[in-house]
Amino acid sequence: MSDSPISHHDPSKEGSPSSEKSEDIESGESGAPASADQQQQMEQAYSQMKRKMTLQEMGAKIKHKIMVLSGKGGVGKSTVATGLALSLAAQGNQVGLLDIDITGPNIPKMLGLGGHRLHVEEGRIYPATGYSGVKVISMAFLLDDEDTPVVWRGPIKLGAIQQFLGDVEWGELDYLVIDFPPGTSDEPLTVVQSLPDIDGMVIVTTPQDVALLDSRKSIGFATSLKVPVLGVVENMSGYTIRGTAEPNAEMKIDAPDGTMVDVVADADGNWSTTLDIFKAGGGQATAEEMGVPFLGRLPFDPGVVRGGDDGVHRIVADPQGESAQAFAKVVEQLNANIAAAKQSGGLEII
Amino acid sequence: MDEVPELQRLERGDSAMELTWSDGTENSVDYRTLRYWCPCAKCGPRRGAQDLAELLQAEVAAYPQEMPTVQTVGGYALHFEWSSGCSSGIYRFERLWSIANALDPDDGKPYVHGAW
Ligand SMILES: Nc1ncnc2c1ncn2[C@@H]1O[C@H](COP(=O)(O)OP(=O)(O)OP(=O)(O)O)[C@@H](O)[C@H]1O
Ligand SMILES: [Mg+2]
Repeated sequence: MSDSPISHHDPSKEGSPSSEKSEDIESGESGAPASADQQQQMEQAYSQMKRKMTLQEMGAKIKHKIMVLSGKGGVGKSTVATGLALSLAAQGNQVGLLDIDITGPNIPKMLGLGGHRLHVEEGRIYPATGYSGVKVISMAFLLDDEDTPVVWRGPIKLGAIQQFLGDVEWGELDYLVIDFPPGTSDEPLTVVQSLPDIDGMVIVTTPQDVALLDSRKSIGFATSLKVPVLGVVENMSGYTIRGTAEPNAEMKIDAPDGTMVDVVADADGNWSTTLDIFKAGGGQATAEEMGVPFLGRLPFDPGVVRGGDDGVHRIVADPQGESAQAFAKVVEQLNANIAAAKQSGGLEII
Repeated sequence: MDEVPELQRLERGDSAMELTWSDGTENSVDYRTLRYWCPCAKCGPRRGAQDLAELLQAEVAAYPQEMPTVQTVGGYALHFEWSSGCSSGIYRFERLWSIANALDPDDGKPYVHGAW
C-alpha cells in the first residue's frame, strides 16, 4: 500500500470525524456546515470505503474463490463445501472455509471446531484452524449457543456478512470455499458484490427431481449474477454395498430402482457395487441441459452422517474411502474448470 | 456507456502495454497513465481536486519503470500488481477502454464511492 501524504483521505485513520475531514467533504458544493446526520453518513462512507479497500486487497491475496450453493436445503452443501476444502488442502493447498449460513451454521461441527470462539485482535478476525490446516470462519463462532439459530433481519444479516468478509485475516490462500444457506437469497448477491474476482459457483444437487429443479433455478441465478458456474455436483448419488462370496462368483443384486445388477466377486471373493437409490444421472442431465459442466457424483455414505455428528469429516476419517476418492475426482474436475473459466473471454495476456 | 468492444489481447512492454480489442482497435497505454487512473478508493478521490491530482501525477511519474503482473478479475476486470506504489485498483474493461482511448475514465465526475 502506498503511503499517501494526504492524511485526511486515509480511511485507516477512521474514528470520530475530525474537523479536517468534514471541511474537506463539505467544501464541495454548498459550503454549509455538515449536520450530525451528514457527519454520521460520512463516517459510514469512510468505514465502507476502508472495508472495500480491504476486500480488494484480500481479493488479491486469495487466488481462488468458490461459492457453494444449492436451490434446495439439506442436499449436502456444507458437507460438499467442507469436503472440497479438505480435499484441496490434502493436495497441499492453503485453504479457507467460510460458513455464511447465519441461521444454521454447521461447518464447525463437521470439523470438530464446535464451541470455538472468535479470536479478534486489533479489529481483525482470525480464523480457527481445522484438519489439514483448513482455516475456518463461521457465524457459529458468534453464537452463544450453537443450537439456537439466530434470527437476524435482512439488512443486519447482510451487513454482518460484509463485515465478516472484510474483517477476516485469511492471509495468503490458494482457495477460499464459501458455504451458503439454501436457496437463491441475498447472501450470494452480497458476497458477489463485495468480494472481487469470484471464480464461480459449485451447485450441489441430489438425484431427486425436485432438487434438480431447484438447481436449475440456481444456475439461472448464477447467470444473472454473471458468476460462472464451475459445475454441478450430484450428492448422495448411489449407495455402495460390499460383501464377500466365493472367489469369482457371479451374482445378481436387486437394486432399489427395480433393475437387476450383475456383480462379480474378485479372486479373493470380495465384491462391491454402487446402487442408485434414486434415479441416477439427473445431475449430469441437468448440467448438460443447462450447458454447465458436471463435476461428478458423490456416493451416499453413512459415514458422512456419522462424521458430521462426530466432528470428523469422512475424508479425514477414511482418506482412501469411496467418498474421499469421489471428492478428489470432483476437485480435479473443478480445478480444470477454474482454469478454463479464468481464460474465458478469450483474453490473451502476454 | 455504449457497448465497449471486448479486450482480446494485452501485451506488456517495458513502459506501456498494447491492447487489441474485438472491433479491431489497437492502442497503447502508458503504465503511468494507467496508474494515474487507478480506480481504488485511495487514488480515486485524489483526482477530484487539482492540487491532489498534480501530486498523484508527480508520484506516478516517480515510480520506477516496471512491468506489472496482470490478472483477470471475475471476467469483468483486470488487476495489475506492481512492486511499488498502489496495486489495489480493479480496472473494469470499460475503464481500460476509456483510458486507452483517452476518454475520461472518471467520466468528468469526481470520485464517487461505490461507483467503480
Ligand atoms: N454423501 C452423503 N452421504 C450421506 N449423508 C450425507 C451425504 N451428504 C450429506 N449428508 C448428510 O445429509 C445431511 C445434510 O447435509 P448438509 O448439512 O451438508 O446439507 P446442507 O445442504 O448444507 O443443508 P442446509 O441446507 O441445511 O445448509 C447431513 O446430516 C449430512 O451428514
Ligand atoms: Mg449447510
